[in-house]
Amino acid sequence: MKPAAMPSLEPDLRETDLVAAASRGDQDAFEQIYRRHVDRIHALCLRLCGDPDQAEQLVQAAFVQAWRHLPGFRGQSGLGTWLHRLAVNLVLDWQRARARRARRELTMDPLAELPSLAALGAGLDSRDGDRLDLERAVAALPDGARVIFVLHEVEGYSVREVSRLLRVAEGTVKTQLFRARRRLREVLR
Amino acid sequence: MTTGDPLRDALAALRRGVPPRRDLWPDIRAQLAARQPRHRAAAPAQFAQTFAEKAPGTARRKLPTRRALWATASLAAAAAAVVLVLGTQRTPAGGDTDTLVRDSLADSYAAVRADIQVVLDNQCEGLAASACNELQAGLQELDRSIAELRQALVQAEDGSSASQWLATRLRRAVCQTRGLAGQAIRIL
Repeated sequence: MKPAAMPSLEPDLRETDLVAAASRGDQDAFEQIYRRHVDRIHALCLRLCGDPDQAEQLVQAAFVQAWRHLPGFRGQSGLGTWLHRLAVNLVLDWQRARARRARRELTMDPLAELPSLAALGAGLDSRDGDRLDLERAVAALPDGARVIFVLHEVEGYSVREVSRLLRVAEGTVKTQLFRARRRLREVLR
Repeated sequence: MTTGDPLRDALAALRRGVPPRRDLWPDIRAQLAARQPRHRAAAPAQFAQTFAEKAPGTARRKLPTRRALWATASLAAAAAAVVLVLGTQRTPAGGDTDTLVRDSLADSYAAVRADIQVVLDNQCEGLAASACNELQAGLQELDRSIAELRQALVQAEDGSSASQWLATRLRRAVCQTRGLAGQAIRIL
């Protein structure tokens, strides 16, 4: 499935100008920010949660939250980095809430929470078989291993950073990484 | 050029960006109106003014610990109560629902939520960092619960018993949050 056609960006506008305008409530400026960053944020959410429908909801939530907190953005990091961190925190919060809910709902069908490989394929527009295989294999990893793998191997966070973000021991991160890599290599072989 | 490791090669070939299947901007734009950037919101400004009147000299003074803890407890209770009310509900499937009711309730919630945020922003200095973080986490949980309920309302069939039940739940949740937030603000 091809993504919907997007309005063209205005490359001449500097990001700091867009941030300043959006902070004053200019939704057109914020739309430019959205268009520049949405693919990156969507890829992050899709890979972290493994569900295209949920990923789109998380992307929406991330940009709505960014809109609200934009006046507090001081430019100490790049806007892309700030949005990226905001989205990571949002996805992790969502996963923690889902885990808590799953523990409460004892009658819930456990299979209902598993990501659908077919659905994930529909969320990607890939002509590269290996790449799609990897995307699908990553989506099929258990939640904990998938998040750790994506944060470390795809997004470039260090083991220590992942450990802090997820509030787990570094040893746990390394173990999950080892298992995830082993499983993915089996799939890709 | 390949490394000989299929996993490394596949990782190197991953795209940094993946476009969504549809344009999400119209949905986002619809939500922005209810969530203006924080320093521009009207309701928070009113509450900031109330604080300034209550605390001549500075609106950001530190409160005595006991009063601050009362505020924390009340606000946390607001968040917890709504999460408990909504947390165990499953999302029914369905079609469209009454957009007016949904949007009106969403606006009410956004206003109450903004008020609570202003209280927090002003008083977090006087609270222990852990209490403040816990409270923020509670509010985020509250946001998610309300968002899930709204989403369920969107999916419920117009005029159906599920739609009416969800609307009642959402209205009750917003009223409960407003009442507890008001109580906390009076204590402050």
